[in-house]
Amino acid sequence: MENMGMVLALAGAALASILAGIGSAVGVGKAGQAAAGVVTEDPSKFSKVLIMQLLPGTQGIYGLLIAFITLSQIGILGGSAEALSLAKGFLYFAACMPIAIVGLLSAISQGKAAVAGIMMIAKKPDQMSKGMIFAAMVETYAILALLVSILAIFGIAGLNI
Amino acid sequence: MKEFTYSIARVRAKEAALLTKQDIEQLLSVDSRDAALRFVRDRGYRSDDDSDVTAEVQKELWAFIEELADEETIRILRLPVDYHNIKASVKAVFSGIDGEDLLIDGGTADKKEIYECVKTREYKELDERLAEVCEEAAVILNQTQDGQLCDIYIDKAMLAAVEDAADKSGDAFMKKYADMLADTSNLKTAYRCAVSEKNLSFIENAVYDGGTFNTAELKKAAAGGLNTLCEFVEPTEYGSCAEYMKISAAVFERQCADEIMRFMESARYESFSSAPIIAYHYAKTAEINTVRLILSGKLNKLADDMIRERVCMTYV
Repeated sequence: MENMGMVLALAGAALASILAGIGSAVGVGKAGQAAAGVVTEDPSKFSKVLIMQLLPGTQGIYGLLIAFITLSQIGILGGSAEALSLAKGFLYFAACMPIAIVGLLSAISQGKAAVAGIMMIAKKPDQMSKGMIFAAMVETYAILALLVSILAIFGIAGLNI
Repeated sequence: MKEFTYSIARVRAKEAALLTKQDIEQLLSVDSRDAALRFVRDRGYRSDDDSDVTAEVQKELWAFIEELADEETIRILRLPVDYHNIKASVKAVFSGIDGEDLLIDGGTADKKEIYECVKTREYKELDERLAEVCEEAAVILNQTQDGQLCDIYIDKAMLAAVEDAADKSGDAFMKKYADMLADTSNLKTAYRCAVSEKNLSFIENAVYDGGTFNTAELKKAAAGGLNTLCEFVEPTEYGSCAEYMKISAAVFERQCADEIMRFMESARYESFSSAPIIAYHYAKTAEINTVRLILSGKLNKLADDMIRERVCMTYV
């Protein structure tokens, strides 16, 4: 029971990286299918559709970033891990959840928007920037969740509980 | 639900090469068949055979569609081809002519197989349903010697098969497409019956009992004449067809095709379902028919207006 704090904090870090990573994998995968379809018919559009395919990949990076920061804060990264109170462990867990959940869902949604954007490029390549903007809009919510997770993790470090 | 992301992206890329309304206008405005042939060749209709430049594009279309989706999904597109081949085979065998040139590719069954089965009256090679239709159509034609009755029977069997395939797929777009095929087919039948003043018993046999119309009322309206039919159609979702009924058969039939094309346009905003594949096939087939119509109009030196009133709307 005395290690539960550490277990919870580590679970939070793991979920941040797992869920956001799954979301990005699904989103990039869907966009990749659409990109491959366009390139099958018109290989000259490779660079344009590649950029669109990469857009849903950022949530996975955000999840990884939060996991790194959390691991660093609790001392697992760097080898200075000390016992963590249950409350503090739970707080770290909660702090990781915004990017874990929003990362998962926003990456899948962004993948769908990227698919639609790729199809727009297939028909109207000159409208690529607009397609990128539509998909990038979804990114806003992943960034907001990342911000909340970062602020919370750094805030928890200063708490004496 | 199946997803067709890769296939739809390919469709979107291909859609960019479909002939636009402006292209069709340009094609209509050229002054000779040679100029029209040059125009369509520049836009992908490459064929060594000047008498049918669309044949190669038609083959490419089926090859493309086969790459996009599984057989179950494209079955709804293949069934009308089967029933066309049955119709052509039964009539060719009955008339004692070689009908192989009348057959088209793309059905669920091989066209030559259908022809051979009808010719030999051995239907074991065919799917049970197709075999039944072949056998019954041949009996009707032999007993009545009336090609129209045979056509009516085969058309109704085709609409029923398409409707069953759509129901089996569970796809709302396909169901609506099957309904629209049945509705426009019933409208065209009712129109022809009304114009040629057919009696109710003939109309009752001719109209297919499916689609969204109250077919009992439609049959009665058709028996009542063109004005009664128009009054029946006006308040329905095919209301726009009613006003074209009063103009001419050609513009009315074009309007029926345009109604389906307008529905197909809804697939332009779909990114994952099979709808854009069905819509692309419909749009490309309509384009091929339009090209064929214009080229044959130019060959026969028909007036531009006469060709134009038969040209259906484009998908892009």
